[in-house]
Amino acid sequence: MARAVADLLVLARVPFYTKGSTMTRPSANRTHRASLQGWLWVAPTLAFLVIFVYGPALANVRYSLFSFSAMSTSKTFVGLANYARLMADPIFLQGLVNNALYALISVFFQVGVALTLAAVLEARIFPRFAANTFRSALFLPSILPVVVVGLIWQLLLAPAMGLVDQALWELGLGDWSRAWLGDPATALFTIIMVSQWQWTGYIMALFMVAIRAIPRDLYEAMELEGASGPRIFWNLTVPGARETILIVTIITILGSLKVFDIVWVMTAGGPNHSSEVLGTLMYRAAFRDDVIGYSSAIATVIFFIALTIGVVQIKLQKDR
Amino acid sequence: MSYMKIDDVRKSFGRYEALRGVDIDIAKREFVVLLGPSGCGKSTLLRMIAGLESIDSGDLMIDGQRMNNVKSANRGISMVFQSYALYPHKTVRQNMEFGLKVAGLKKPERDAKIAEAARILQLTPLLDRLPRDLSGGQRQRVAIGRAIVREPKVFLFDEPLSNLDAALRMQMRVELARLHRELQATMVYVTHDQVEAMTLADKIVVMRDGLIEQTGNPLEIYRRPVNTFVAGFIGSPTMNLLDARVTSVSERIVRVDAAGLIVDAEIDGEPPIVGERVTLGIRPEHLEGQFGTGSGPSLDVIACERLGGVTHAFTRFSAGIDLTVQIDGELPISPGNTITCTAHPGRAHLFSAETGLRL
Repeated sequence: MARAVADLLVLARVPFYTKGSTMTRPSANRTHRASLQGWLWVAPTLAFLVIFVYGPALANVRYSLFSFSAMSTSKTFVGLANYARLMADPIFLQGLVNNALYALISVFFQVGVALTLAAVLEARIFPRFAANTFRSALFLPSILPVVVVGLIWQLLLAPAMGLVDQALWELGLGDWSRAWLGDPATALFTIIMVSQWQWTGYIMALFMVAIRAIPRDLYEAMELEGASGPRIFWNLTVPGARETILIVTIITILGSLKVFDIVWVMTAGGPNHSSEVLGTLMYRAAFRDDVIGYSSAIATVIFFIALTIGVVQIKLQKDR
Repeated sequence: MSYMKIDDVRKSFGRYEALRGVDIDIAKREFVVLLGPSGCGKSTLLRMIAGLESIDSGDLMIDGQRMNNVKSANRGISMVFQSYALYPHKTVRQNMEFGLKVAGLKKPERDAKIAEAARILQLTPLLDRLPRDLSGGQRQRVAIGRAIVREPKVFLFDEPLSNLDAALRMQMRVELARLHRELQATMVYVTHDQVEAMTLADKIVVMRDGLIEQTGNPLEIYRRPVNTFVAGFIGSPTMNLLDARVTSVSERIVRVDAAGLIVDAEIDGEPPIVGERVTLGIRPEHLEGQFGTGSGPSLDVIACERLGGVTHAFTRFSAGIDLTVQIDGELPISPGNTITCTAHPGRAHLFSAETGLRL
């Protein structure tokens, strides 16, 4: 849900201010009043952000320097000990690697594959009804709640009785059959693929909007010059959808970094931490092991990685 | 022997017939303008020549080869779009180079062609700029440059000047005419602007509702429009078309009376009979307006457009009929005045009142 809202905001390009006011040379007094009025308008949102976003984020950084449990009345200051423990924790490193893999594969599918699908569907290769059917079919999974998707795929992937295994046997690929979520070698990738199944169609729809914004004339001009489909894709679609590609890449990386729900529902990080991600690690540290300081340290690490990516995005957008 | 031949070409979009059988012969090095109001099918026809729309029936021949099912890129055409369709993230050089790269030309060859086109169009200092840093006229020239480098058999222009302001449009008209002379190229040009058609064309094809109304050189179309549609479409301000009655016929000269305006007109075909109703066509520039009482009917001036050298006076007959008269710009005329007018001899046109065809 939060993701959908973020995407909508990105698509709508909500302006934070408007350049070039219609007022010319307002008096100092008027400027002052206008500015005060502006602050009043944003005050409720600002207060909300400070109380529920920036405040807790800062508090979290502070908590990460203490050792305490949710029930304890006092906190013990431990300095960077939580971080030292984190760096030495092989499960944390596993989680970091898993998040990176999650991000890498997600970018491949949600940027690469989704953009290609969008370009093919928009290229009018297929008859209109076929393109519309494909689009709807690919988009549909994104409207399902993540938990529902996780549970459905758990059933589908169940060893022996799940539809996936049965299908493999029917196709004569019985050797491939395995406990997809129970095997440490496949658990993470299975979850990642379910996630791609859910989101690729959604991102594809975003790309279709971006491609439609590229003037039709340009495609015709390239066609007249004899350019092939792939050439048009690289020389027109990709540069034309550049901004959307950038935004989707960032959203996908950030989403992969924060991923929790689908993993928690399908494997809870198992088996033997093979599908552990920072989100599940943090959750378990806080709500099962009750080491709040340690959990805060994990949250802080996630925060700073996300911040770095955010800064890179802003930099890239300014550069163009 | 025509270089390019459009033979009974038809096109429908669903139930709507965009082209209902069009024939055009185009000679090598000819500048042909497809002229008509919006929705007449001229752009559709151009897009069919380009291969951007399929041809439902009929033949398209270029240089002796049937092109109906040939891919756009292999038809030997280049097209300049109304929007210019420059690739926004490519520089001027890259815009011109793209098609050549696709065609597989080597770098030295590409560079030579681009340098030559840039020289002809004075684009050399702009080669490394992006389209967004260019003015409208410069973008237009880049679009033409991109068409030139491919050395097509036929250039296609889709209303290329309609996004330019009036002064630039005139400059580009002159430029296009020069380019046509210099390149000795066959050009097909779509416009709804009759001034562009009159000034650029070797041959004008006037279209309406998916059909050709008249084909001919500009002066021929101006002097001898085949029907009231062409008569009204060519010329500015538009030709006056008045209901008239034949008062006398002698050989090829027919005298008609339009609410008191007596005019002699020469006809080509079967003469009408005395008393028959006809449509009299007479251009504002072929009417002589003056103050005071003359031989013609008196006209109330409703509005004036002063262009300096001449003034267009929009007037009304006593009978409630409107008539536009072009008069000397020096005459101090203003709305509310009454003038009289006479027609220049031999410049009137007669059309059948029923069919609208030229008599």
